[in-house]
Amino acid sequence: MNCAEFKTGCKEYLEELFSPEERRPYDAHVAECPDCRSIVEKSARMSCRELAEFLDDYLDGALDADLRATFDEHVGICPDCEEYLRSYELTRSLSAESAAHDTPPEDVPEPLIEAILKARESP
Amino acid sequence: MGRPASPTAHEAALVERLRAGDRAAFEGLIRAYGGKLLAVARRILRDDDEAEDAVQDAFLSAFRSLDGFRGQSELGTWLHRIAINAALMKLRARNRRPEAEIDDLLPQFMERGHHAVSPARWADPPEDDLARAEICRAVRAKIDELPENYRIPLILRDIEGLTTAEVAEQLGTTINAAKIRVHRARQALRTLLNPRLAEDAP
Repeated sequence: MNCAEFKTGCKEYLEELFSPEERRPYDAHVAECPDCRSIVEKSARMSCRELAEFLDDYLDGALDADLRATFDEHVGICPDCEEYLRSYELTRSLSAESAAHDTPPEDVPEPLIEAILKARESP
Repeated sequence: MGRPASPTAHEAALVERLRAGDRAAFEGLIRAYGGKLLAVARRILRDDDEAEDAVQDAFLSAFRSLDGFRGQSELGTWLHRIAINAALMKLRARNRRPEAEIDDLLPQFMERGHHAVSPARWADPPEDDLARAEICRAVRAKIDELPENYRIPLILRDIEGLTTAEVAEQLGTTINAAKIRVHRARQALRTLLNPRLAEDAP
């Protein structure tokens, strides 16, 4: 097994979805390849589920240095989280940007002005 | 920068006239800020009549608490917070429906925490103003599709521009609870936008 083949089945391998026979070449590759072993180790430090909880803090720059490093490390080895982070960041910025495209304020209706002034004066 | 915004001399003079009970000053204040406050209340309540009621409540509440206006914030900011509060009061007074859950719109994970479905690659949003504005209007419409208990925190944070602490204060929750609500709402919004923004979208 080479690294490209390992990466193709990496998610299923780490989720333990393979049969013992299917696992064997992955185990063997991890034992001999430091790069792919590092993928396994890094993914054990933070799961995709955990990473998703830190998205806002990450984008706000509010994670402490260790956690930020673990987050970056995970994104570096995980195409799923790389895409999720990117789409989440876009969602955040489009959501804030959409405020400017809301219906613009109109003038207050005259009857409402009258009603408010009247209510203020009534005991 | 870094200094708290202080009211302008014009605002200070207006507040003095309001405190003195000057009817023209009240009318001037309603004309100056009423439209913006009405827009805020409509965003929250999505009902014109209720929004007008909320704006009336907001101004009356502001008039009553003029003595409490210390000039720590600008008049507009102060009124904005009061209008949000008045609109949320109206919202709470409606028949309370059970809080909706949005689990279906949140990312799904497998047992060991990997994404169950690989997130699609999103295309870069368009740079040109027209296309961008169109996407933003679509985003705005999708925000309104969220269940109320997620829509409101997101509106307060992203559209009204409140801080997480201010969202928490308006909703009467802890800062952490408000933060999680906004985060879940953004995740759900991402799912709603996915069909449109995914690169392989039709």
